[in-house]
Amino acid sequence: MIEIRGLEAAIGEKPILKGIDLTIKAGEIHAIMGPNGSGKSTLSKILAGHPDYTVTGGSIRYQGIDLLTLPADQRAQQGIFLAFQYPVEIPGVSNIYLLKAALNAKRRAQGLAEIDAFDFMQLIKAKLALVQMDEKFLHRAVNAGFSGGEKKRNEILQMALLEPTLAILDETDSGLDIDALKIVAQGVNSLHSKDNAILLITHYQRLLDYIIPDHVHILSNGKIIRSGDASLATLLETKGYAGIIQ
Amino acid sequence: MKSNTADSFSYYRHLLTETALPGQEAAWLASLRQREFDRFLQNGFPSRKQEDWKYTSTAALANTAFEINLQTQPLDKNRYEKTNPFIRLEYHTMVFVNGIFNKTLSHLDNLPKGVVLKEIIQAILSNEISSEAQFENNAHRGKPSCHGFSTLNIALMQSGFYLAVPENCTIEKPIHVMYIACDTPYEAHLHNHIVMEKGSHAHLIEHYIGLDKMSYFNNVISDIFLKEEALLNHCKITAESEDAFHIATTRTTQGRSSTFKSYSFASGGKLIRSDTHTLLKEKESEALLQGVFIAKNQQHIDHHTYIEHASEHTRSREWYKGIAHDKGRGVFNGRVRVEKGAIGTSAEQRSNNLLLSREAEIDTKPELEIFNDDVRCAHGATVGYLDEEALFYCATRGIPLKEARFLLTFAFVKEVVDTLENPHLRSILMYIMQSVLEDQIQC
Repeated sequence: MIEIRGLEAAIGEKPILKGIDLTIKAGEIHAIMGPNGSGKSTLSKILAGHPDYTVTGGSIRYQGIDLLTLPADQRAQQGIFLAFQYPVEIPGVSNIYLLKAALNAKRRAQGLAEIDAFDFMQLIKAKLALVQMDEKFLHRAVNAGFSGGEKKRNEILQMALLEPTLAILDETDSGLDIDALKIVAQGVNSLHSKDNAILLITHYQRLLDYIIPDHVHILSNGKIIRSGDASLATLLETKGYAGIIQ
Repeated sequence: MKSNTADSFSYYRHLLTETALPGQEAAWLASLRQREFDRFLQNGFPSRKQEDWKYTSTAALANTAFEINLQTQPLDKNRYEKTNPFIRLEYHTMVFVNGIFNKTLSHLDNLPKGVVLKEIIQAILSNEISSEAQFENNAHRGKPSCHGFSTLNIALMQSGFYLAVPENCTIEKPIHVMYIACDTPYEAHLHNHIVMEKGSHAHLIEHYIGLDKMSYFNNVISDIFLKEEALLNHCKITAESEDAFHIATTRTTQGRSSTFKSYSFASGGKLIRSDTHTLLKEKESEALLQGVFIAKNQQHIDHHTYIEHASEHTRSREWYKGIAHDKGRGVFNGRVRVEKGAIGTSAEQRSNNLLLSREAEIDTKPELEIFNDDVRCAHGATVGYLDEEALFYCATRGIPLKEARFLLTFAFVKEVVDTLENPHLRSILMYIMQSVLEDQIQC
């Protein structure tokens, strides 16, 4: 599904990624773990197309296309979804408006007609149930005044609606209490299928107790220094980053 | 023609003496006109050396000569109906075309008993306004709302409306006054006089709208008198043609426990100056001043507000939002004065501004003058660009940049529009702003 080869990237003059190789196939769940400053979030932002980062080397092929030539909105329309570590608050824009605009943008890109209001309500109600969110969230401004847990659940709600092919979850577990973490994890697991893939970016092993990855990669100083199966995360938990990196 | 030169003075002298200004039968008015004109000769137009006019040059008005139109201007009924967004709601409607009252297009049949709503010169001729003392808003004399344009407004007053709402009367449906500009350039000195008696309630929409691409000049004064416990919801929509000049001052004098809710929405026009001055003269009176402006191309839109807390336990809240695009220029100047005896006052002011291009400019300035200690005042002003992170967030949801920019810009103004109580007015203003913004926002 996605093939990252020798990816190098910088913000301004500062190199952050120094040659990343990563292949994710349909149906797989990958986890990227690493200490603060290792480049985890940079990788997720580059995949999503953040304009502040410059790719200085390497390539990303996604479903046969050169991903780096596409602007962020077209990547999303092609099925890439980034769940933010810090979801952005947008006062004045209601959640329902954003959700509908996002779905319609994707439908237009697929050559489909825009969804009508009735069908949309039916659809979104089903998705709300998945993340145990009340309908009143639809009419509140996007993330404005939401608690940490509500913001993260709102990200999963958007993911559920847009049904991405590749979902990147950037530190989705941060700031979640155990109950909210379970709801988020259940939501993600139920959305996972043989046709899509999930890339989890996380600092702690905790999330991986609930969403079991097929592959775990450890990122340090802009490079993947070790890859393995889910047991690597357990090893990391006992030895710490320092123990693995040495 | 209108700079402070002998030429401009003689031009206006010509207008005053040669134009058959209406209402000459009222001797007090003729004498007042002359005195106001003498004042104008003394002081001329405001210049940028005056603090209140620092950001706004009236020089653009200088070399344009307009005539005062005294003839009824025809306006096709179909065209009028398309122009009036409230037509189906059958509001109490007064229509002026190029500064002249158009009775045929107006709709004034169903006003509650005792309410007077008529053309101002007619109100003077029928003695509803029978003296200078009754006509003048004396509490504002000598204050910033008195300047060259306001003196000229009275000297050359040609029309406007008079609204008097009797004691404890509530007018359920809004009153909608439309000043439509079309076909021929003109200059109009419009004077509105609103008296809300004790305990009365009304909702007034002052609506300025230009239909054709042409230059003209509306010079407006709205004098508002709110008696004890009166409530006026006052919405001013300024949607002039792109080449128009619009200078307007709303001057309110508030009695005990009265409430003045003012909303000003401005877009269009080459130069718009729209001021709201309110005097919280008696205790427990309250003013809420809100506004949104969108300045694009090379437009200049300036809102000055002046709230005077002259009595105890008076409250004011202000929230203005501005958007400037292209080479548009916006100004918000919010002056609040709290007098010595005005204990227990609370005053709050917010001004948030959004720049959509690097060449756009918005100046925002709070001015607080506080002369006693028992006061709660807060103010905050921001000027910024669209939030890049919010744009990226929208992009990661598949929303194209152009749509995301529109979404965020629209959301920015919507916050203020959402505070309007009348749902029809809300949706019509949303529609107006949506069309102004959609037209403008490009990647």
